[in-house]
This record gives sequence, C-alpha cells and structure tokens, in this order.
Amino acid sequence: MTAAGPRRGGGGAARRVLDGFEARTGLFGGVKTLLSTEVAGGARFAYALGGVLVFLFVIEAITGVAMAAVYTPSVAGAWGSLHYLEHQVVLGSLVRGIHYFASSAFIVVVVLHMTQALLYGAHRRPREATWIVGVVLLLALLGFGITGRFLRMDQHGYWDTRVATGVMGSAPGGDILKTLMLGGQRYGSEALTRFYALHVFVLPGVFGLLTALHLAFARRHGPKPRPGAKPAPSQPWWPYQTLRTVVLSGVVLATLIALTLLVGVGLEAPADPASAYEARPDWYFRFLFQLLHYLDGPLALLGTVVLPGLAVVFLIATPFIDRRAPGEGPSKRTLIPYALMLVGVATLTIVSFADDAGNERFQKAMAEADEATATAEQMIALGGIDASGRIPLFEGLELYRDKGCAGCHDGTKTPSPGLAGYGTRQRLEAFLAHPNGEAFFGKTPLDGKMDAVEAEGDARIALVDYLRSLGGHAEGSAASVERGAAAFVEDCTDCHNAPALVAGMKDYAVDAAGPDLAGLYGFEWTRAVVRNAGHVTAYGGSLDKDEAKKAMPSYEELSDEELSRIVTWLLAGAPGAKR
Amino acid sequence: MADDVPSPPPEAPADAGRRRLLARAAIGGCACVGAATLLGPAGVALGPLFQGDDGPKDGLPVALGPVSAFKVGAPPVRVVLRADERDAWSTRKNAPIGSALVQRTAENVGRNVGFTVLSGVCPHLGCAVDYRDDLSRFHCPCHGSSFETSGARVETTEGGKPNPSPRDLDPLDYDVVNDRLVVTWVRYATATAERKKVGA
Repeated sequence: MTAAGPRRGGGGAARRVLDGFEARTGLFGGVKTLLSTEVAGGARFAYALGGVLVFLFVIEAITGVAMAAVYTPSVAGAWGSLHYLEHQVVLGSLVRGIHYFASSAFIVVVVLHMTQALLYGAHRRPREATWIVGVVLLLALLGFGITGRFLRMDQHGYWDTRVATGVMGSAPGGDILKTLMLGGQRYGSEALTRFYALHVFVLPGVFGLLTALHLAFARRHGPKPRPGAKPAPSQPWWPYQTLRTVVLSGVVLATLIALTLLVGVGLEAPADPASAYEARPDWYFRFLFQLLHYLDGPLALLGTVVLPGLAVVFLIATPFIDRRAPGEGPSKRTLIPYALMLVGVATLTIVSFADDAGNERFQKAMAEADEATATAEQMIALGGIDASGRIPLFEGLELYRDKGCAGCHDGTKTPSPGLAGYGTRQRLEAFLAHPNGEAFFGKTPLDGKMDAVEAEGDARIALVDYLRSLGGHAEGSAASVERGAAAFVEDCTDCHNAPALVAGMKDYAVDAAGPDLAGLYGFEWTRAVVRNAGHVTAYGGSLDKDEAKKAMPSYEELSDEELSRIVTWLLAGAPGAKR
Repeated sequence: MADDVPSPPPEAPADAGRRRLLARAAIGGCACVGAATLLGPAGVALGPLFQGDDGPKDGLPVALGPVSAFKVGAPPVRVVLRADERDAWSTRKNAPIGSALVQRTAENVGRNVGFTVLSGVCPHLGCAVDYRDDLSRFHCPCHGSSFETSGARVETTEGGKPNPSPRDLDPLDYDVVNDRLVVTWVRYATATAERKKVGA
C-alpha cells in the first residue's frame, strides 16, 4: 500500500520512527511520486516557465502577507502605512518592490508560457482543459492588477482606478459590476475594503484553486515535447527539471530585486480627488487605454467590450479552432490571430508611451506630481501624519496655495511679508533688525510704521527672549526675560500694549497703534492675525480704515478647520512658502 | 483499506431505494445549508445595489469665497471643493471632495444666475477636466474630451478626433449667500449620455 516500504539496513530508533510515520501518513512516498514524474523527451528550460509562474505566485503570497502585517486597509491608514512600510520598516521597500515587479513579471511570463504552449501544440487534445484553465488564470491575474493599484491610495493608484472602473462602468451592465466593486459610487472607505477583500482573499483563493487544477491537469498528461523534436529518453522531474526551474526562478527573482533597487516602486502624494492629475494605467493596461483614444462614441463599445471579449473568446476556443493533430507543428489558424493580437497590444502600448514622451503638457503634469510627492515627503518629515491619515503641514500648505495666500506672500508683485520661517526665533530677530525690509513691512501699508530695534548684545537677546516668552516659547532664562520685559516697557509701549498689563485689564488701550503682542506667535495670536490682520488689535491700529482693508483680506470664508490648518502650518515655519 | 476497519456486509438489493432517497436528502441538505451560509455574505456583497449614497440627498453645499474674487470676462478657474464628507462609517472634516470649473458671466449674480459652474469630473470616464487657455476650452487629459467654456461638448477635439465625452460637462447648482458663492456638489454617473445623479 505505502509507496516507500520498510527500508533495510537503516536500523536505529530514528529510522523506526520515520518508517512508522511514513506507514501512517504516506507523505514521503507521495512527495517522491510527485518528484519522480517522468518528463517526456527530457527536461527543458521551456517547461520551466510554468514552474516560474508557480514560484511567482508563491512570491506574491509571501510578500503580500508580509505587507499585510503593516498595511492598513482604510482611507485613513492606507497611504500612511505604505509610507511607513516604504521608509521605516526594515526591508519594507524591498518586499513592496518585489511584490509590485513580480506582478509585472507574472504578465510577461504568462505570455511566454502561453506562446510556448501554442508553438508546442500543448493546447491540443488531450490538454484542452489545461489550456482553458490557463486562460481563466490570466484573467484572474488582471483582476489582481486592477484591485491592487487602488490599495496604494496615492495619486497614481487612485486616478488609475477611477479610469479603469470608469471603463468597466461604460460597458453594458458594467455599472452594476462597478457599483458592486466600489460598494457604491464613491472611491472611499467601502471601495478600499472591497478591493482589499478581493485582492487579498477572493482572488488568491480563486487563483490558488485554479492553479491547483491547472497543475493537476498538466501532470495528468505531462509536458508536451516540441513537434518534430528528435525522440529522446524521458527524465524524472527531480532533479533534472527541478534544477532548470530553480535556475530560471533565480534569474527572475534577481531581476525583481534589481528592478526594486534600481527603479523602485515609489509612492506618490496621497490621493486627492480635487487635483488635476493626469491618470494613466499600469503598462499592461496601456493598450486598452490607448485603444479608447481611437474608438469613441458608439465605437467605444468596440474597445471596452467587443475586442477584449473577442480576444478572450478566441483564447478559450483556441484548442478547438486549431484542427491539427497533437504531434503536428503550429497551426496558422491559431498562430496568426494570436500573433496579430500580441503585435496589436504591443503597438498600442508603445504608441501610448511614445505619445506621452512627446507630450510636453503630460511631462509637465508628471513633474508637478513628482513635486507634490516631494513636498508631501518634506511635510511628513517636519510634521508627520496624524491618526486620521492627514499630513497636517501638507494640507496647510495646500490651503495656503488654494485660498490665495500664496498669490501675495509667495511673490513680490503685491508687496507683502514673506512667510518662510514664520514664528521662529530667527525670523523674529531678522524682523526686529529690519522691520521695513522686503521680507517684512517693506512697501506694504505698514512700511515705516515700526522702527528697527537698536538694542545690541545681551539687551537684544533679552528682548527677543521676552517676546518669545509671550507665545509660550521658554527660550531664555527668567532673568533675561525679565530684563527684556523691562526694556519692552521702556521702549515699545508707546505703540504696543505692555502684555503684562493685559491680565489685569489695567492701562490696556484697545486702540494702541501697534499690534497686541500677548501670545505673540502662539496659536491663538496667529489665528487672530490670519482671520483679520486689519483688526485694531492686530495691524489695523497703525493704519487708517482704507489702508487696513487693503492690507490683507480678512478671509471670513475660511472655516475654523481650514484656519487651524493654515496656522499649524505657519507656526511650523511655513515650510514650502517660496520666500 | 485500513486494516482496523472490518469489511462491511454486502448491501441488500432492497437497500438501493433507500440509498437513492438518502442521496437526494443529502443533496437537498447541502443546498439548504449552503444557501443559508451564503445568505449573509451575499447580502454584504450585493447590498450596494440597494443602498443609497452616504452623502446628503440634495448635494453638499461648498462655500467658495466672495463673488468679487470672480471677475466678469476673466477666463474660467478650476477651484478645489472642500467640505465635510460622509464616507460610510466616518466623517472627514474639510476634505477635498472634488473640483469645480467656475466662470462669472454677469455682474448681476444670484441663485443660478451670473456664473457658469461646472463639475470638474469628465463625463467620459471620470478624469479631472481642466481649463486650457491655449485652446480656450475645457480639456480632459485622459482621452481628450473637449468642451466650450459654457460646458457644451464640442464635436471634434484638438487634433480633429471625435469627442469621447457622451454629454456636456455637468452643471452644478449655486447660490450667492452674503456675497459669497456657494456651490452644491453632486456626483454624476460617467459614460452615460443621460445625466444621472449618483451621490454627493
């Protein structure tokens, strides 16, 4: 009954235990039977392609599980967790790189595997079922591609998915499929968890099951030697074919690692539905994207449904279209349409990339996207990612740009203070030295309203220490702050309220010319200035009404939320402000 | 056959009918248990077909700032829409939810008067449409859909190709409240000739 009977001469307790185990499980014998399968005509590298595909599936499974140990499938967590994986987790970027490039390699090797099968006649009787399951596997593979990209939740993945699902939705009945995939009509929380469930549970399950069938069918009939090959003695799979498969797998893995190290996957800026990102699908869907450039209006159906549908039907029907005997050479009836299909796909792909390479507008948009990514990185380095997945400084900078602040403060066309280093000690020192310089009040309505501070040395440091202490920045010693306070009362209170008086509301003049400095460069102080810089307690005291209105708009339409984000960004030193 | 299991006695011919009946019962049992097991998961999977959108029915109002910021005669601008978005179980404050293309057409402004306000989502496949000053048109970078500044679909796009967009750009309702432009954000289905609201 058992494949491996009791051995002679082994002796010893260990041997008896192993034999006993084998008698009960038959595992060793089973493995031995699997490995000793005869390869008709001898081992070949051509037969190793299937083995490489199994290897790639295992790679995807292992790297996928490793990533799942970090990745968080939620709108709040997805991008941040990938950023963490890419930059902080030990070898995280390697794992992610291999996972990504293995998916591309999968497509390439599948096409090679199919082509080889066609040339060898391995789709013909009695291997039709193996071939058909193979075609279904190819489709499942594309499913991995579609669902995987969205999980990144970066600009690239997000916009690609919008286009891909848009294509799906444009097919008859496709909107139902689209709704089911997205869990509604929104590219948000439910879409992400559904894509995750498909990518991580459903598709691997289906793919694994189909692979098992494909392998069982393939094993039943054995590899198909090339038609016309000289008859050669067969060899057992182990070690002849095994070695070839391992060598080829090693080459593939080395390529994946090289691609990861040399090219890398990258993670673009977080998905932004409000941006004007130029979406492009991954390379293996480029042909379809390009096809839609030529087929539009009523013809679009040709590109989205008819041609891809025909291609799938043709591939599935290949074993039946081919009328040749199993041992004969390739059939023109299948090879020509197959070759045309490959050439068509390759041409469309090349044309699509060439179009973009020659499209200045697209190149500019890509450069802008890269810049946004670099900015996001910079803002994360300075201010991190919060628990709701937002990058506070990045959002502050975006609001600064969107809400029109940058229009004045980034340039010099409308005279306005530069904001780089806002709220820092250095900027305060520079301001006190040159309040009417171009970086501050120069040429604005406030030009000349404040004199440079003359104090030098320790006296100057003391004054800065005191001013910094107003906003809660304890930078100098108590003695220095006290000395600075005394100097402030002495020299500055002609214009500014002495903040020490505020608590008792004594001698507090609401119409003092200079801004109220209580809480200077603290959150609330800065917030009040941004909300209404022309207010009498801000800069309005030194200006007449018309000037105050012109000085800076009061931005009443900024929500509290938006204002807080801008202030947070300002007080981090306004990173990303142009001057 | 394992050696610790006694051989069964041969089946009596009378048992054949009983076996058939039991086989049928087993198949029926499998079907019932299977269906009951799949019922819940099927509900979760197919639910979105029967469930409405999370957003407000009448669209999401988004304040865009003083109307004076938009000048008559100026080219259209693409504005970022930020609002408190409801997405399944979570709300997100001040999230960028989309973009609008805004042009002021008259001095006199009011509810749906004086502006052209269009959704920035391309009706073809959902890419982001932007204004191209070199063409004086709205243009989609994905497949080249092209629209007049009024939002009307042009027949032939840049390069003489037919326009892939199935319809004009989608107008958004707007109002002027306290001299401020407030746009009502709504999402429409893509790739349909007919304008179909799908959420906000």
